[in-house]
Amino acid sequence: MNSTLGYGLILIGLLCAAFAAIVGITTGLMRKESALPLVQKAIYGFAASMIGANLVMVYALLTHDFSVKYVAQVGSRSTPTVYTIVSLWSALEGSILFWGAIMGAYIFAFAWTYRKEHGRYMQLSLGVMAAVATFFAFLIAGPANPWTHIPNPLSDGPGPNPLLQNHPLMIIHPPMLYLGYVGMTIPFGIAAGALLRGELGDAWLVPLRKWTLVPWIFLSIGIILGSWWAYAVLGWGGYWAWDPVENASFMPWLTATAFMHSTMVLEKKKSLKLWTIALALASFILTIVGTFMTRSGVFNSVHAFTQSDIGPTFLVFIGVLLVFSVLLLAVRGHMLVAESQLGSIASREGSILLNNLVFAAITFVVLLGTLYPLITEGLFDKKITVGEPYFNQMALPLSVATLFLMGVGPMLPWGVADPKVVQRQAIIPGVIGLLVVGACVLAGFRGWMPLTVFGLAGFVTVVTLRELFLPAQQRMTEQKEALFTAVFVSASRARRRFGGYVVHLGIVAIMVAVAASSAYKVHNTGSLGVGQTMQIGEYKVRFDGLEKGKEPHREWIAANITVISPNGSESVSHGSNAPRMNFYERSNDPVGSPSVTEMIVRDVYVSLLSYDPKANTASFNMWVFPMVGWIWYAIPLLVLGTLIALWPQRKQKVTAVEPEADAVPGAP
Amino acid sequence: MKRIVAVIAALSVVLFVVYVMASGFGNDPHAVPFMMKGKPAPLFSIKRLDQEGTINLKDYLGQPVVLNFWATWCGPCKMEQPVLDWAANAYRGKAVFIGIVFEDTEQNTRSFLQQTGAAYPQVFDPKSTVAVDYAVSGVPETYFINRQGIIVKKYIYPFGSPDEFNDQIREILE
Repeated sequence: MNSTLGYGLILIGLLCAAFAAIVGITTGLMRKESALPLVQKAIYGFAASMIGANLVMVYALLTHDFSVKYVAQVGSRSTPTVYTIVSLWSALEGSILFWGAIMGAYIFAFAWTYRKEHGRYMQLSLGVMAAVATFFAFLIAGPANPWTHIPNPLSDGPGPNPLLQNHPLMIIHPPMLYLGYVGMTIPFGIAAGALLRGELGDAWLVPLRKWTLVPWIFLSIGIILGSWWAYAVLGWGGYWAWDPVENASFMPWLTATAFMHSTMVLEKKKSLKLWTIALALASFILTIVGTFMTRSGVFNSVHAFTQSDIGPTFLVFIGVLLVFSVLLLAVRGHMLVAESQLGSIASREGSILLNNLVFAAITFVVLLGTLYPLITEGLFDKKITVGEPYFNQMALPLSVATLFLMGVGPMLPWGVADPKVVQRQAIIPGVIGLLVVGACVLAGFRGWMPLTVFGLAGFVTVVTLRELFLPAQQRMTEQKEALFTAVFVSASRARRRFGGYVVHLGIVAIMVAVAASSAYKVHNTGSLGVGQTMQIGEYKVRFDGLEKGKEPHREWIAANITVISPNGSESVSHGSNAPRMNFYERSNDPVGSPSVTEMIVRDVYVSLLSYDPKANTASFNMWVFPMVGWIWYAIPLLVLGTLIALWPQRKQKVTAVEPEADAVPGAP
Repeated sequence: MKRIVAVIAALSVVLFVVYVMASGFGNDPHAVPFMMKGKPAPLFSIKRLDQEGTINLKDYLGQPVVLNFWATWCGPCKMEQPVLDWAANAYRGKAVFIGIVFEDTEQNTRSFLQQTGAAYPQVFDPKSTVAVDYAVSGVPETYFINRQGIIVKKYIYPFGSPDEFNDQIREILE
């Protein structure tokens, strides 16, 4: 019953998407706007059937309907309810089904939001989005069909991958990433619609920008939560390994970030039109490449799903997307001509162009490093791996360059910069940056890379805070407003600008955390008997003995520890908080989970390597990571900044022209 | 004309990328890389732990060699130790066995070996340089080197039984 209902809904979704794609694109090209309501209804039908199919699958999982192939594959009666729901996206077929629901929700939200606006573009854009939706509905109906009926089902199943049941972050991380990946379909549709139409008006740029920012923030959160999960669950003492699947999520983030900056040049100077549109197309294609990387079995990755048959289908889709995008840019690109030339490099637009080039360079470096093993194997039959040294040596200096530009860009005005004004503005941030470096050296920190990052972070922070609060300060002086009111009013009158700078502060925090935790981590390993301690940096870790535990879906053995700070204070990690080995009923290998004693400025991270119950000993891997938590603590800043930027402007009648709140030197 | 050249160039890149990705079909995404397959075994000379002196791989060229990378904190390494001890005795005179400890402390390893004893030479790789030369990706990993000094295969699992070991060593004894 569930199989039939679910599969039926997918077929309806496929029909609706195909109809919307064909009608949307053909009538859009013929400029018959009267067909728009039909396209919209088909889009609503697609969204409803995809969301419905997902609800049916959740119901089948919760009721342990093992006659549905996917439930038999990932379901288990012993899995807690929350992880039963999570198992919807824990394996390949379910994850594609979930993808379909998110895509339905996104396209529905877009179509509904602009149901009475942008008629000249909507059919084409919705048609392109529906074409993408058709592909995914086809995948679910064919190569990745989770609904196959099993005539004589077993009474129980193996449950989802144990790693996915090991930490609550796994409940949030994949949906966030999917919301980021799938959401890029919308700017792709908007950009392709503009190209097909052969024009890009200011009004169409607003949804393009906003609907890129939405998946961008989800992608940002997804990437950070993924690294947090890897850190908190896998126990290898790291959060980023330049694994192909990690790179797959990073590349669209880079191009989408570049896009967000280039739209400012497009709006202000009416140039970089084609480049901006190309970035929107690239961001989406990179999400599809990322999905291919995770699900084709082609890339060697710990994150990859097992080998599957959907790889060739995905590759054909990537080929079609690339050819479509290249031809679209070639045939229609000349219609999106720049209306002005970019001036000096020492200007706001010049710094943004430079920033875009750096982001493009990082994307190329990451893409090349990720594809290189395949290139050497495909062309020269030579197996190689590209590891962290390549990525770190190539991408880190470029990342430092972006940090530098984050400070320099906001100081430069649009158009022509007056060198004296820029010099004057740079003095205080520059001096503070140098003071930060000096203080770090005096505190004993060494290494040119982390010190450069700390210095630049000081420089950028001062510039950003000044840009954030200068308009408020002006209001306080001129309008005699209180601090809170002045900040609120100035922020609400320049939301994008204010939100953007708040996001910059979050990025600075992340870069400082990455630099500190990579350069100054301390590592130790060894075996301990009960009561013995091991030194790790300034901390001591005492082994307090082994403890057994049982939960509905697993048993575990914990090595209880106490972390002793330099001042003698003790932090006890016993039982479920201790480093432990988890044993799942249907898994041969134990799954370790580390203990992380989090502090504001550093974490003490202990993972259990092995234990000997007879001798009552345990072997540990231990690290002290300075400031690593700042990576995840930056999430609220990113979210806050994005919400401020996205917050809709109230439509009101303008009765008098008021001076702009952000009319300060260097304001965008 | 310029535009046509640009489009042809872009489409060529597209074709190349698609070809490269297609060439990877059939790969095992979870396969442990084995980049040293068929290559001469990197030579090393390091201090023994089980007794005085050093082990120099060069001295054993011309004989089949079994290199086992392990660590005291590694549970599976301890599990396979009885099988490897058995194999070192069973293949005495036919193959050379060397245990290489890395990512560990010398003190831990010495006290471990004092408790368990060693049926074959054990060396300590303090800076993991030998492990890097052999591109070891984890422990335990066992490398099989033939009489010509070529790395023939590696085994990335703990040996659970003598039969399992016999299957793996056969090729380098031929």
